[in-house]
Amino acid sequence: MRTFKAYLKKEVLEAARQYRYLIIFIGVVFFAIATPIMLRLLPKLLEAQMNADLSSFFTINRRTAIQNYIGDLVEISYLIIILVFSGTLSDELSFRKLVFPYSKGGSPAGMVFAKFLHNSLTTVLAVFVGFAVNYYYANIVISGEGASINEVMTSALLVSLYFLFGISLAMIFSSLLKKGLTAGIVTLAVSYSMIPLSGLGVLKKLAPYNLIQAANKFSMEGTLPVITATIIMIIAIIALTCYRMSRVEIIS
Amino acid sequence: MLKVEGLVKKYKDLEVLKGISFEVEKGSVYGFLGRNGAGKTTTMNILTGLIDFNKGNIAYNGKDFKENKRGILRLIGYVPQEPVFYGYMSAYEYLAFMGELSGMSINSIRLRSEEVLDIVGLREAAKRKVGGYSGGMKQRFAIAVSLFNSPEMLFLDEPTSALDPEGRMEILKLINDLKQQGMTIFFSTHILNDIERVCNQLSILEAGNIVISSDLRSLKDKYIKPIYDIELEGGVKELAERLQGLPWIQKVMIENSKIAVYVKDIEISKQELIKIVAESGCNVISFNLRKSDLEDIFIRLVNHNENI
Ligand SMILES: Nc1ncnc2c1ncn2[C@@H]1O[C@H](COP(=O)(O)OP(=O)(O)O)[C@@H](O)[C@H]1O
Ligand SMILES: [Mg+2]
Repeated sequence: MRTFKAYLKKEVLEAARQYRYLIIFIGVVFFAIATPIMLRLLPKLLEAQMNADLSSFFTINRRTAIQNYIGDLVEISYLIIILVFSGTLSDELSFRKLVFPYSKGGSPAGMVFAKFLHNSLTTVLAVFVGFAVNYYYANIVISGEGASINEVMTSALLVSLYFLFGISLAMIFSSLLKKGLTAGIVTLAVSYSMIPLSGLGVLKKLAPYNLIQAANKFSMEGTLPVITATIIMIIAIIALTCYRMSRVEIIS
Repeated sequence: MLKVEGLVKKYKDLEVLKGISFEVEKGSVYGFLGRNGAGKTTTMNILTGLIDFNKGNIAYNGKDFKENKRGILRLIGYVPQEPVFYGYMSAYEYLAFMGELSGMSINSIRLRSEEVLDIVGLREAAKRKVGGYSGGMKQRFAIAVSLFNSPEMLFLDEPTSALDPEGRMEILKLINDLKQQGMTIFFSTHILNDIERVCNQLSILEAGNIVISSDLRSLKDKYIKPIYDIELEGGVKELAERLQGLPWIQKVMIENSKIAVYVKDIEISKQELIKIVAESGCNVISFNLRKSDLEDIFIRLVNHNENI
């Protein structure tokens, strides 16, 4: 508990001083604003270019605006978040920052939990703010059929859980690999390679990427198996990370 | 206070520590002397719980180290060779972090911060980011950090190696002050002079083996074999050859016009050596008896340990 508290504070200080909050909020909220505007302007620009009425090609309403935002989140914001957090343990290990905490009897599990909680809360907060902003902008800029705020928050929840899975993956790779960037790239490679697999057989129900499919439908319907499976995987990955961090040799 | 028996550490096939044993008594400053790569840092990392070991026993105050690791670690402090902190923190912030980790209250963190920063003379720089400290400041801050939860034993891994002479003296003075206050200190170095200044016991580590453990005084008594320095005008080789064969002489070394004669029996040499030199007919510039110091002992033990 002592280690947990000390590291939670340390992570907040570090994230603030190294502009991580700023990077993540920009990386998430920027698209919440930019996507609806782009969707509004793009057809107009193309029409002006091509001198033709293209409205039948673009079915843009408030729902599709939010779905587009979800796409940007998964493709770009996810990448940013993973790269920001993938150094979380590898930097501590390769730059020998743990010599003092460990030699004073600090608890590896306390540190891992503190980091996971910090990185998760930051991400979830950013995602919810992002969805709220996107909802607001989509309603201003775009007309047509919309989603209710409840539906939008459901999507935010599902996307958040998918991100937490990514954050846990980044943590274990960060504890195993020397460089944060390598850990980030491996995490992204694993995440992306799971996307095509998530449609196959039993994975259709269990693979975390199906959270995104559900988010696109603004519905929790039939998501219990994938939510359960994802939470179990996250717990298992974090437990493994704790084990690894209590075994790893700290060379001073 | 700390008893190590048959400690073995392997990295794959490489045996870095080959079964070392020693005992550190409460209140002593224990010097751990060895060249680069001898295994000092590895030993330190084991004794401070950072890495595991393959064989052997470590007991701290009679308690098994592995079984009581967390509790024991709260009683010791470690100053690594190249200390690393969270560079974006100020000294105050880092100490607060370490204090919380050790379960100290906010109030005692505040008080203790001033105390330890005073001890190492860093109060003025305490608000600055630690990342901007000089090497000497980092080393001193590391000592402050390791002292923070008032440990009873301190491990210092080559604390003076990277410092300029002034910084070295500061650290040695600090060690002496801590010794006065009754702190037990385990201190590794490759600088013999540091050992002579602050330690009362020592082990010499060479390639993963302890070649000797002793207190400084009896080591000197036991191993000091006087050395005569003779400077000549010519005839150096011939004289050296004559001396080499004598039973009471351990070794003869030539350096330009000087001969260093390591004698085994001081009484015989006092009478005989000067006669032999006189008989040789060489022109003698100087003839001196040098008491050997730790450096000579070290060289003899490590390089020519056939004569231990
Ligand atoms: N993590 C490691 N993996 C493999 N060999 C190591 C490792 N750490 C140290 N060694 C080897 O162990 C020996 C002793 O190293 P070390 O304890 O750092 O010596 P010292 O501190 O006395 O200079 C060296 O030969 C070094 O190369
Ligand atoms: Mg070393």
